Amino acid sequence: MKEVKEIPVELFKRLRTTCAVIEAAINTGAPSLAELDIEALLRDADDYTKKIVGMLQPDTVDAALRPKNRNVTRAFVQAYGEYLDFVLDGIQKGKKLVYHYFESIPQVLLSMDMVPVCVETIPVLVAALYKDGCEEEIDALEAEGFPAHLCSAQKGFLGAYLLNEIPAPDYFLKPSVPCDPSNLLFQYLSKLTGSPYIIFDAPYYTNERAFNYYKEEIDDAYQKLIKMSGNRLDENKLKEYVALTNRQLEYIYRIQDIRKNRPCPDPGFHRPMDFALYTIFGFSEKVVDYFKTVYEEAKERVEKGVGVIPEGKEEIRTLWTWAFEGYDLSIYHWMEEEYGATYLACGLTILPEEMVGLIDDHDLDSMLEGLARLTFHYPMSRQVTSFADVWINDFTRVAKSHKADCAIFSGHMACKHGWALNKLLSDAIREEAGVPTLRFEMDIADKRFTPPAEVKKMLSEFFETVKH
Amino acid sequence: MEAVKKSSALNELLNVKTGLENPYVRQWKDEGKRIVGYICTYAPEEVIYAEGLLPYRTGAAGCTATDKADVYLHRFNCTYVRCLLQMGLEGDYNFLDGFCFLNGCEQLRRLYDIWHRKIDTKFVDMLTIPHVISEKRFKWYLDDIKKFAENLSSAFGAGAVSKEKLRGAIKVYNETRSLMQQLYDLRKQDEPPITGAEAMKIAIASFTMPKPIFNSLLSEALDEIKQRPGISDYRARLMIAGSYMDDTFLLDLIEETGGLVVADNLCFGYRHFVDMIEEVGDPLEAIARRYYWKNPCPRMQGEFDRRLNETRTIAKEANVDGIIFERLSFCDNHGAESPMESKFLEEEGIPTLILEREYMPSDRGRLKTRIQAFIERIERRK
Repeated sequence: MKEVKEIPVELFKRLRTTCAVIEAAINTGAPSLAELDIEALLRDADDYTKKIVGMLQPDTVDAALRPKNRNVTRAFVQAYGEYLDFVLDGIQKGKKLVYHYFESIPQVLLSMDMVPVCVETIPVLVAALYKDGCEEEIDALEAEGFPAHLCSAQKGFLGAYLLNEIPAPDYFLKPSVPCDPSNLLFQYLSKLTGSPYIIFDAPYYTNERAFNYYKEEIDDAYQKLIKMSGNRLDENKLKEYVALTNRQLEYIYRIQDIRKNRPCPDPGFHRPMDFALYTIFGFSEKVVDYFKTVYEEAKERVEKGVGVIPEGKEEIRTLWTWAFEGYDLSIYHWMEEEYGATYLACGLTILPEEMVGLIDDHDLDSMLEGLARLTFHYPMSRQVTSFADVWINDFTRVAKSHKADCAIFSGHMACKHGWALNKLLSDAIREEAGVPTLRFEMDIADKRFTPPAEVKKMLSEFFETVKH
Repeated sequence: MEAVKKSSALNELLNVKTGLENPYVRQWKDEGKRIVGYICTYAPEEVIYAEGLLPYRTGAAGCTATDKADVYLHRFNCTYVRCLLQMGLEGDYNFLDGFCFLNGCEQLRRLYDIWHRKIDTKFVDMLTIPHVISEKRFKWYLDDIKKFAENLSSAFGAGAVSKEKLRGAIKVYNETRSLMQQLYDLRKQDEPPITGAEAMKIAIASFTMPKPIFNSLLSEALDEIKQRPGISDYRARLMIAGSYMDDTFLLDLIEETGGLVVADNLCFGYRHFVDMIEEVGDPLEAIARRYYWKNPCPRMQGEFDRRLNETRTIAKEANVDGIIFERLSFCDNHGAESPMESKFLEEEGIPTLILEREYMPSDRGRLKTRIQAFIERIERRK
């Protein structure tokens, strides 16, 4: 009898179970982990679920249960949980699986009846959710001889493949930006799995010449996918995904704008979740609901004249000029509570409305052009790919428009280009917006590099200085 | 220029200094002519040369501290880039009239952003090259080179460079490639008449002096080299590949440990000299075409198999016993490329060693121990 090989999906299954557990925990109404009756929560749970609960990072769960975070977190786990169901179901049904970089075109892949999985989202979520993060996966990849200074957002994913926690995909899809390590690690996984690696080249400029080149590259990439897979692009489906994307974008622009209010009405805990859902842009109504919830809660706070920091606390408005620290999401709740420090924007979620706008859905070409413009100005890729001026100008503008009190460059150690720019960026923000910057090193998906206690210590000292 | 030539051609090439201590550079400046620096092997030297400028590859050998550079760069940036910036900030590159940067890697591209803000070089420009090789994408690079040529012309007032001058430059540079190929062929012999460190010194000379003089010296030097007795007392024939390297520290260490470096796949060596420029057709396009399509750097995506094949071919032609992949700490491209190539080559039975190092000569003991162990591993197989 022919042996049927089981498809490895453990990591997706683990995340799906986690979404369900967190939703159930929020639904109990417990306002903190200390007040959560875990025994009751797990009374009817199976052994696998119990095991997953034992793996969870208590601080992250505690922050998720807090009243200011709970509704948005619930909207997130519902949206991402639904997406994971779609991934697991698609894999079982043998749909074409595409591992892609976070600046990509999931709407087009969905319209081709494929299953898109953003490589970088998975290790970042795993690092945030579980006590051991994706350390075993990172170690597995490094054991192959790769240096530790490469990006954990890819190392964690590649390691998961090496540990048989995820399946080989049918294709890889990636822009040639924002950095060499991501390109090279995609290439390695493609070589290991034998699955084709489709690259769309991104030029070094942000002008129209560059955009036209970029759009052609994206067109070529999906044409290549059509040719290789035999799947066709369903224009009507694409229209639906574009409509959802536009609704998502409308909320994102409003959310970015509403954070200009003092005190800032939107908790920092939401930013990593924003990032994760940016990577499934247009996937479903639930994704739109997530951003709607973020916006409506923030709007309600503005209307009530309250913020996300304890009453009476003076606000310290922080601008995260690289991105967030991804392995201990409780720090955003902690800094709001302890120091009144709010989170205005960061390099993984900043999306300039004036550059992207909404996608014109009147025909296929206009939709593809709009999607190309979205990815061209996608968070991080836009700032990182080009000359330093783009990054500097984007963040100086936000520092002024959002009246930041300070900036935090929590630089991911793998981003060499970022570390080669951090001084220019900090100087420009200080000179043009009068804002000081704290710079510290971390690894976005590996707490071993700068443990959470160290991060808190550095932030504490900085906030004490800023206050005075 | 003949005036500065004092000793035998080979001796001259083996002892060329860098910067203004280099008599050829000094004389070029004294004649009122200008120099344009470049770093990356994707920078088209011929275009600079055709403008009547001296292309000078900006190494950072001799740099011993990076305190000034570390204000702008970080310990996560490789020590080559930090050393180069240090030298720029200390005025060691004040003799440059221009600088051509490239988006060759994450760190070099950001060096442009710092250099043009903090260092007073008259002309600073940046060429960009796609990360993927195809005829369609080639046009982007060609257009960028055209723009760069225009920028050079307007900065140095020479007017648009003529096709004749470009063709002349191609001839000169192709001659360099041909002569370097002859040198590399000598290294493939069973008893090569030249060490790897000496070959590297000649490569260094090629980047820091006017090519017509270099060609004349190398032409003479090749005759001298051919007269030398071959080297036979080595324990292992080795190839070296990996990150940017513009000094002989590591090669000296390998060769004093009993290895003989008979081939390389370095952007400061073989990869820079291999592949000629077509001497027919539009010369600017021919230049761009050669740089774009040549043996690719790991920054070029989708080319891994080609690079691996290139490594295999070089290793086979030079009949090497093993390959040393040297990678600078925090070098992304070679950091990822070296374990990949190593994995597949080892599977084919070719011994490999990955050595992580800093740009500045250091860590001699650790490196030597690892090289010794590698040579012993090779000897056990014989």
